[in-house]
Amino acid sequence: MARPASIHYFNVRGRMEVIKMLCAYTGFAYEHHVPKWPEDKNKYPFGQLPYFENEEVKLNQSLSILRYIARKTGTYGSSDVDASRIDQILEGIYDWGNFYSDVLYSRGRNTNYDEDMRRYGTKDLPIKLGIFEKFLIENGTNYIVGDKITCADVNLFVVIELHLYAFPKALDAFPNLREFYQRVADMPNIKAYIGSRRDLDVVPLNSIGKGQEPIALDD
Amino acid sequence: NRKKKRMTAPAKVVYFNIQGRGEIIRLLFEMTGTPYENVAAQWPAIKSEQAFGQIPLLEWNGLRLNQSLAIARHIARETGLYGTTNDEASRIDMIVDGEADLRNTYTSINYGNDYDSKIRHYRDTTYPNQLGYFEKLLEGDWFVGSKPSLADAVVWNLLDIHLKIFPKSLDSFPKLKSFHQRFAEIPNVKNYINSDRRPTNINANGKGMSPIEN
Repeated sequence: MARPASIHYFNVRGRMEVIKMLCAYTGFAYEHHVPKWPEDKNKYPFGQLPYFENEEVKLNQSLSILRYIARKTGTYGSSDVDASRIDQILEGIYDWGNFYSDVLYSRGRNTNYDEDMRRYGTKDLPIKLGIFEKFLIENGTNYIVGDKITCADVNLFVVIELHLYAFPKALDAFPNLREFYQRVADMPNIKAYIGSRRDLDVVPLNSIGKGQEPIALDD
Repeated sequence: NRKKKRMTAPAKVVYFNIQGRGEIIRLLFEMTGTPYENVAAQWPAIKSEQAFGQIPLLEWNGLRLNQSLAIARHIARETGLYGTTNDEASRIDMIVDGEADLRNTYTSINYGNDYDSKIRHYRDTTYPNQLGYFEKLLEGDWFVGSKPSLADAVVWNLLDIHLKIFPKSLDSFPKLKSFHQRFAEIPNVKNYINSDRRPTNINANGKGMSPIEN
């Protein structure tokens, strides 16, 4: 039996969670290795984590890893056009995730965590969610691209889940996203994976433990 | 009997008249000799029609796509610039994603506060540190496989815009330096960069055009 793939990452959810969720959904086998950091940094192509290795590839960059696994497991759509639509969603979510990270880590113009999170939750988050609500409605199949589950659906699910800790009512105004989210959460492999996950006090969302407590929003 | 060749309309690239995030799209079309049209964006009039409220936008054979990297990957698939195996496609992905991170850093400094001090810190630490990884990843003439791919186009584009502000930036990276020259010598590329089809301005705010020496 071939050795399962090895994924190297810190002991947080972070950028690996979408990869783990896709592996759980598809049954793609992997081992999670936690490297010594920063001692092991230069072992990796871009000196970063997550990192993925098997007999075929050695990869940095979470989206590249996601795409590789998606290609292997038939979750990259049914055509080249589907793949491009999926890419559009992956890139859009990546930008969104970076935007939220800047708020969580108080980077760039963000200086006051509570104020910034309140502003983000009140003003920015509904706009981001609205974009994906619209994609769902326009696609009209209950999936974000095509007519079956793809890595883009898993990515959308994970980024929404990440937000629900700090913004538990975020989906109240988005019926299609709410229904999508619940449907994915109820899928047997996803449900089992979520049920088996460690609590946030053991494996936090990120390295600074932010974004885990509900934020009171402006009315 | 005259056989009628099925004509598909050339691709439309809707963007500003700058290099910015549209340049990779033009470069890919030019490099592969694929017909395309630059359409100057009516901005912000068309903003609300864009999936993420942003451009570039590609319209090609009935497909509408936003997100410059999704567009770039689409063109690569259509024109054979995505490698020939799963392994090659993944290595291309990794390099494209790595370039995107570095470009995001460049862009946020370019349009952000404290430009003068941040650009110098970037020149002296972040940029060369990251170039070190690209230098190591370049094992032959091209980044992946034995012919130019999407990976080469994105990296060349990045190196090229940085040479405008950091003319000596490739001096410590001999493989990247000769790669930059080699890619620019590809006939279609050479033709493009010497043409007036290539926008002069790199960024919308006019920054990034001249050397930052001290």
